[in-house]
Formats: sequence, structure tokens, C-alpha cells
Amino acid sequence: MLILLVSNLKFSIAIAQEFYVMRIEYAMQLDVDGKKYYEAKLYPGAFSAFFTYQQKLVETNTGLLRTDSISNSYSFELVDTSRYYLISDRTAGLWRRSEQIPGENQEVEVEEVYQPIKWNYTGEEKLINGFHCYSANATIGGRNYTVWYTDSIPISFGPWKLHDLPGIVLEAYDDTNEVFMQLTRIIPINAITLEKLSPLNPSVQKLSHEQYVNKWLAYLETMQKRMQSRFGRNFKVKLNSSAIKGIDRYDP
Amino acid sequence: MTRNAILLTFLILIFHIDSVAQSVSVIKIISVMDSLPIPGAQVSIFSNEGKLITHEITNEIGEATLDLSLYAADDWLRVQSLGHKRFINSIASIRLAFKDYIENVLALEPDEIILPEVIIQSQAPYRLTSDTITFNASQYQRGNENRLEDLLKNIPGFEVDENGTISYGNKKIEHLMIDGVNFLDQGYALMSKNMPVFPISQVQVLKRYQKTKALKDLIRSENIALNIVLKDSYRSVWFGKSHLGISPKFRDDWDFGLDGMKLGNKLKLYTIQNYNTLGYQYSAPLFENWKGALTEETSKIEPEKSYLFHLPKPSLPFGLPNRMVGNQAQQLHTLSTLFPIHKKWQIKLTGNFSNYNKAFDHLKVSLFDLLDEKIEHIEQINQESKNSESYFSLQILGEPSDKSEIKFYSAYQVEKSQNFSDYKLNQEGFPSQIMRNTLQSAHVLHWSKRLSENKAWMLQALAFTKNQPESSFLVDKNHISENVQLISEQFQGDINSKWIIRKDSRKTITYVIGQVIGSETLRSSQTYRANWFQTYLEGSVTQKISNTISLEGQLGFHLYYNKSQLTRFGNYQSGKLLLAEPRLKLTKQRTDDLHLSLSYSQIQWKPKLIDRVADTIFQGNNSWIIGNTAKKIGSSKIFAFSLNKGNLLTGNAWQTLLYFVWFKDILSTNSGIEPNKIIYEKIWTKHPLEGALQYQYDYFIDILSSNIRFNSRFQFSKTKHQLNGLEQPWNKHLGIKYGAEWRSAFSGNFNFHGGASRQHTIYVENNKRGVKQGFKNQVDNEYFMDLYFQLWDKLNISIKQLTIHFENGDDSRQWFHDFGMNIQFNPKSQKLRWEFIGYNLLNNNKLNRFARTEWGNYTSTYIIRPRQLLVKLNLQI
Repeated sequence: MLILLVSNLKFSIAIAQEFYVMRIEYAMQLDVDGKKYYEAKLYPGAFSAFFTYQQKLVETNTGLLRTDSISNSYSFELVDTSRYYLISDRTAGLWRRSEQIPGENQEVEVEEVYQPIKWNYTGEEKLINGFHCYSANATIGGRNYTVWYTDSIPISFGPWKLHDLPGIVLEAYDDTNEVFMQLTRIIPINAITLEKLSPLNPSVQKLSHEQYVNKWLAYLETMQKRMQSRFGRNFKVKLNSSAIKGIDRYDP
Repeated sequence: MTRNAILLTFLILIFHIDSVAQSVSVIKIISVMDSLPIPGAQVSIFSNEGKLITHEITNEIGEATLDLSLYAADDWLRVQSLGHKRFINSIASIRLAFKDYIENVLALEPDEIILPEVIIQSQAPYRLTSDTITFNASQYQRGNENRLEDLLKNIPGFEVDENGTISYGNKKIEHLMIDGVNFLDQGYALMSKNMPVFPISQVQVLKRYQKTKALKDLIRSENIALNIVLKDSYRSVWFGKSHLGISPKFRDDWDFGLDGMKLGNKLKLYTIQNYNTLGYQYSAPLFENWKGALTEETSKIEPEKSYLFHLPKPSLPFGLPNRMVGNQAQQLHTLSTLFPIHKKWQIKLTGNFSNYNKAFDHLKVSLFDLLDEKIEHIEQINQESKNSESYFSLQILGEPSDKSEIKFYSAYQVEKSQNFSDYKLNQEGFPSQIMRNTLQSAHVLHWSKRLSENKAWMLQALAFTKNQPESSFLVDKNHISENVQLISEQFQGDINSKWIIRKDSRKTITYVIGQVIGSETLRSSQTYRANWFQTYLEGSVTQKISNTISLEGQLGFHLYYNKSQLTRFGNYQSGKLLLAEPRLKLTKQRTDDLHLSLSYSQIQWKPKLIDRVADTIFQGNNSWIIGNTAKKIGSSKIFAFSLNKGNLLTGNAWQTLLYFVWFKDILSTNSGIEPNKIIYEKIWTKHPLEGALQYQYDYFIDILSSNIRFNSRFQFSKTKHQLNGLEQPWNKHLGIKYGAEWRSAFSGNFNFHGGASRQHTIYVENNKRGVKQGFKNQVDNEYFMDLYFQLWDKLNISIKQLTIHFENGDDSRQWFHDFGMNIQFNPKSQKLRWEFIGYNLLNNNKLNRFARTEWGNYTSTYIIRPRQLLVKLNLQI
């Protein structure tokens, strides 16, 4: 237990000088292209938030698991060990997130306009671990989310882009069950700046959201052609979706 | 005063001078302590009933925009920010307070808050440990789940197919347990289709589940099991669900179900009762999974699909009449119990009765053109079947000590099926009927013991019997009636024992020594009787040299003995065979783009093996007995080398595979007599030594680019026979095949896939006297084109065409055209799958010219009538 005198903290207008005094940890689960588990951390400030997530390794073995040269079957398990971030800058009206363009090893920063979220408050209530929670719905990043928040901790930043609520988000999921986030821990920390949390590389390539989506589409098209050409006539190749699916989902 | 505030105040004064407070737009939140603005503060308005109406967050200068005139006087304004005391007051009070001020400022008092470290571990949606993933059921419930499979479909990673089989991460769940109790072994689909959701607390995925405790951590199991953890309040009490639904529109449509369950310390019991006329399949096969359940093998027997017909069928071509098939009745009654008979012994009883009907139809049209004579043949088949299955099993489970386990399992099943087909042959009706009643039983004894950390042994004895009388009745075009009754009985049994020793050092080495002794008898009324016996001994060593290189070695000795008899004709055969089978495989795997594999295996028959054949041939009143005693010598060696460069995910790739087979099989007949095929002439020839030596060499190259694929194959083999101890000249065979395929990117509404290949084959063959019999050059050309149309999300049409042209050196030519069309409509819910398949074969040989055309219209899976609105009553206890 830690006693904080938050009012003594001086917030500055510039995001780089904002102090974060707590860390909120989420268990995050994605089920796009196979299920993956993530450890996510949210550092909420007064007008900005730093959200970071990294895939949780369950298996120790990664890479090519089994190859049968005679039957020509391959089994891959690719584990992405990168740590990704999302900086929500309410002052500048920007979301800045780290991404990796598939097929390129280079990390890029994608800038997107911070869209104020129009939440629909359903009036539903439930108790989660002793917290009185309320439900709200909104469409964010191509997904229809349901969140459960409590106003007993007045923090308006939530995990990923689930912001602008009257309290902290304890649970969030989308209607396809592909994204699931659950608060696991709130830890008060010594005040820390964004620079300390994420030493940003000034030389990192910056892309607009549209540029990033276009790069993805180009890559998907190439991959589809490659994959299709590898199967003989008697193989049925099924493409489930051409949508770009991550935490956000973009239907081109 | 800020510039905005001045401007805003000015505007308010000009336009709304009488109602300043009623139209407040900007509220500024500051701290009492230092009068600095509070950014990120939360400004909310609630109704008098406490419902959130709107919510704003202050910007970097502490301002939030709210038009207070929009809200009722008895609504409430709440402002809160971390580190400050919460401010809350009615809209009426706020308006009054702001009335005398031109800047609307609210100052919050600082608050020394105590922010505890909060850990919400118990409510996390899932929890990971090394081999277990635990999902909290409540986190995945949306309120409309009725059965276990509904809940599982909500959890990412789970899939449940229409038969109730569960997969997690594309891997089939082998066992489903409730609080660690395995009621139904692999027949768990009964649970997934029926068990209610409300008593479930957690769903656990157990990876690397090893059912045999003695082998745990000794043999790496790839099986996945599912454990359902019940809520505490549902342990040791009765609970269940019941439903009754009746359609107001169709009175014969109804659905009734009653499930009850009690998992006490002593008695564990689960019962399911279902009866419906809608075709809902609550039942699942139990008996066919018995073997898989006890030997950790995946059952390969897939349950048959049911076909539901609720809509009148559309008219088929040629004005042929259709027959409406009504609703399909389904019944299920089952009871499973588990109770202790001693501290270390338990009894598990399962009884099950299920009943279901199914039906399908198809139309087939054939046209023959044989030497200018045309024959038209139209066949329509409507087929119905009625099936019932009764099942009973008894299991005795014991754990005499912590390290040993004994299981005895005995199961019986009676399966009755009645198939009725209504043929339409040239528009004349001829029925046929097949009845089959099968009695099966399975008996298993399993005994395992852990000797030490690295040693264990396991003994399994399996016995299986099957009695299947079958009768059929058929009337064909020529009014020939036939009533055939075939009775067959089968007994099959294995005693299977394994000794497992694992040695752990810096590298892992595993030795497995196994032995199987088994026999099988197949008896039928007049046909065939066979007994066989097999025993083998094998050991294997797997040495993992590094993460990417492994070396596998295996040595096995197999002894076979078989005796078979054809009772009607009196033929009988017996033989013994001993095989030595060493294998060696070296693999090197790279995760990026290179993969190398080298393997060698050999099967060696021992020279002293004897294979005896004795034939008795009856012909009228005369009979001849011909006896052979043969010595069989043989071996085969297989050498394979493969190299793959690139991988399918990251770029272009090629692969090459070299395959070499050396095969030798020589039969030496000691008595030296063998009947000629024309037995009346009583011509006997001697073949003291006959056999074959064969080399085969295959080489493949595949080159894959973005959407074009080239492949080629070079094949060479030569075979040499021995006759009367003399080696004959080599017969040779050379084949070259090459081709290319071209595909579209499969991204739009129209896609295609086409290709062509050509194969040249050259045969050089000699007869047994060494005279060259022929030189044959054959060319096969193959062309295909597939077109895919996706009209919208739910309707797909694919058209496939294949043409093969054979051209042989002996002036033999054939053209083969194959055409298929497939239409699928929303396969997930309303199923319509219509297939049109046809082919044309034109044989253009000089002496045998004919053409044959056949096409079929298959509607094996059909439209389901839209779900009826049932007046439904659900009860949960």
C-alpha cells in the first residue's frame, strides 16, 4: 500500500513533461490468426497515456516445430517478442503507435487522429472484484466494444484506445470475441515521464494511418498470391478474410 | 481571466444577458490549493435516478464544455479528479452559483487519497500455467448460452463442430472431464451437446494430457483434455435443466429435454433425456471411441452426418416426381454413474439409447454411345434410413498404489439400421432394402506401473467382437428378386505391453520396447475364415543433438503367423514371416529458409522364412489338391534425401526430393508344382525359383514463384525377374512429367486457377524368355481450368473443368472431359449445397470405339426449414 499526495504533482502542458504516477496492468487476449496472450501496461496521465503490450510466451519452443519433407507439410509457430506501444495524446489530438510492417524488419510509428469516443451508456451494472461497474458500448478501431468501468477510480484513459470514460476500465471485449482485456493489477509508482518509459527513437520512420494500411494491403496481396501459387489443384485454399486484423480491425 | 473566458463572457452578455447561468458552456476546474487548472478532470451529469447522461473531460487548461440549460434542475453535476475531493451538486444549485459570476469556475479541494495496490487475480479471464490454461466461465458468458458448446464457442480458440467434437487451437480435445471425472472418455460429445452452462465456474485446457499416470512426465503426450470445474454450490447437490418446446404452427414439431446431474463424494451421476421431432442431434457416438479412449489413440471413425429435410424439394429435371421427406425424429436416453466400491476401487457404468433417421436423394443420368447404339439411363434414388443404437459399458477402475493403475473395461453395443432406397430406372420404380443389426463388444484390461523416475511399464489387453447379420432385398429392372443374408462374426484381440525407459542427460534419449501378441478370427456363413498371430519387439532411440538436428534410430523384429481358409472352395493358406526393420533418420531443421532431411530404412526378411501355400480346387465331382511350399527371401531399402530452400510464408521457394528404393522379393518353391490356369488340361509347370529385383529412382523439383508454379518429376525404375533360377533381362521404365499452373490472387469476386501438364512414359519390357516384348511410348496431356465466382458473402459458385488426353504408341487414344459445378449458400446456418457433376469419355481406339457421358445432380445436404418459433419453457435447478 502506498500513500500518494497526487495534488502535489505538477502537470505540464507538454506531454513529454507529464508525469505518470500509476501503472495499470491488463491481461489481454487476441484471437486473430491464432490465439495470443499479452501482458499490457497502461500509464494514465492527465491528458495523455502510455499503453504498452508484449506477447506472453507460453511455450519455450518457437519457430519451425515440425517439417515432414515427404508429405511436404510444415508447421510454424511464430512468436512475436516485440514490445509495442500506443501513446494517446489528447492535447495534440493524436494517437501514436509502434507497428511493424510485415515483411520488413523495420519498426515504424503510425500517427492517427485521436477520435473522441462516443460511448453509449447502457445502464447495466455488475460487481467485479468488489468494484461497482457500469457498462458502455462504442465502436473503436473497427470493433464493437463492450466495457465495464468503475467511477470509483476517476481515470479517463483505458487500455488501448478505450478512453474518455468516467472511470477506470476493468474489463473490455469486442462482439467477435477476438479481443479481450481484463484489469489484473493497479500499482502506484514513483512519478515517471514518457521519455523514461519509452525512449523514442527520433530516426524511426513515421507513417500516417492511411500509408500504413496501404502498406499492409500491398503485403497481403503479395502474400495471397504467393500462398495460392504454392498449392496444387486438389488443394482447397480458403482465405478467411482480407481484413487487417490486430487489436484494431480495418476492412479495406 | 483568460482570453477565452473574457470572449465567452462577452458573447453571453450580448446575446443572453438575462439568462447567464442557464447557458453556461465552459466550466473551468481548478485546484483550491494553487488555483492551477486541473486537466483530465471528469465532469459528469447524472439524472435524478443516478443514470449517467453525459460526460466530459477537462482539457489541458482545465476546461470542459457543457450546456447546463439542456438538463433538468434536479439533475446532478459531478466533478472528480484523482487527488481531489469529489464535487457533486444539483444543476439548480450550480446555475444559482454561477449566476453572479462571469467566469464559471469550480475549485476542487485537495484530498490525500489512499490508493491501494489492487490485484484482481481471481477475476482474470484466463490464467496460464505451464500446461494448463484456465478460463473463468463467467467472463465469457453473454447470457444466451444454453449448452456447454455455446459457452465454448464464446471463448477464443475453441471450436465445436456439429457433432459436438471440441477443438482448441485446431487440435481435437481427446477427453472431457467434469471436476476431474472422465465420464464418457472420448464419447464426450454427449456432454458438450447437453451439459448446462450455469453450474460451470472454470474451463481448463490441459495440454500434454497423459491419461496413464505411470507415464506422466516420461512420455510426452500431445493430447489435449478439457476439465470443467463446477461452482462450489453445485457440488454434491442435484442440478439440471429441462426444456419443452412446441411449435404453434406445426403441431408435430416439438422438443423436450431433461438433464440431471449430481457429483457427490461417493456417487457421481449424470442423466440426459431428449426427444424431438426437429432433427436436433443431442446424441453422439460412444462405442466407436472405446479403443481410442483407452490406448491414447485418436479414433479415426467419424460419425455419420444427418440430413434434415424440412422444405419441399424443388422439381428435378425431366419432370421426375419428388418425394417429401418429413421431419426427423431424434431420441436420446443416457445415464452415467461413478461410485466407489472400496477405498481404491471405483465402478463406472454408462447406458445409452439413441435413435435417429436420415434421408437423402440424388439424380444420375448416363448416356452410352457404343458402336452407334445409344442407351439412356436415368436413375433417381431417394434413400431413407432408420438407425438406433443401444450401448452399455462397465468400467472398474483401481489404484492399488500411488504408482500403479488398473482399469477393466467392458462395453456392448447393439446397432440397428434399416436402409430403404426407391430407385427410378427409366421412370419405373424398384425398391431395395437393407437391414443390418450389429452386436459388438469390447473388453480391455490396462495395467500400468511406475518403477522409478525414468522407468515404467504398461500392459494392455484388448479384445473386440463383432457379429453383423445383414440382409438385403432388391428388385431390379429384370424383376430378379434376391434375398441374401450374410452373417459375419469377428473376433479380434491384442495383448499389448510396453516397457518404457527414459534416460535424461544433457541430451534426451528415450528407449521404448514394445510387444504385441494378437489374433483375429473372421467367420461368416459360407465365405472366409482367418486366424492370425503377430508378435513384435522393437526399440527406438531418439537423440536430439541440438535444437535443429535430431537423429532417430529404430530397430524392430516382427514375427507374423497367419492361417486362412476359404470354406466354400477349401483353399487355405498359412505362412510365417520374420522381419527385421532397422530405420535411421537424420534431420536438420532451420527455422528461416533451409531444411535438410536424410533418412534410411530397411526391411529385411530372414532367409530361412517359410511361406507355405496349399490350394484345393473343386471342379464338379473332381478335385485336385495342389501343394506348394515356398521359401521367401526378400528385403527392401529406402533412401530419401530432401532439401527445401525458402518457406511458404516469406518468399519464393524451391524443393528437391531424391527417393531411392531397392526391393528384392524372391520366392522359392520347394515342391515345384504350380497349376496352370487351364486346370482341365492338367498342365503343370515348375518354378523352383522366381522373384524380382527392383530399383526405383525418383527425383522431384518444384519451383514456386508468386502465383505461378512449375513442377517436374523424373522417374526411372528397372525390374529384373528370375525364372528357373536364371536371371532375366531388365524391364525398364522411364517417365518425365512437367507442368505449370497459374492462379489469380484470389482476392476479388472472380478468380481462376488453370494449368497444363504433359507426361512422357517409355516402357521397355521383355517376356520371361528374355525376348523384347515391346517398346511403348505414351504421352498423357492434362489441362484444367477452375473458375470461382463469389456473388456475395453467402453464395459461392465454382466451376471446374478437366480434360485428359491419352495418346499411346499403339494407336490408342482417349479423351476424357470432366465438368463440375458447385453452389454453396450460407453453409453456417441455412444449408444449400448443390452439385452438378458430369463427364464424357471418348475412346477412339480402332477396335474399341465408344463414348460415355454421365452427369449427376446431387443435393446431399439440403435446405433446413427456418427455425420454427417454439413456445419454449426452460427450467434450471
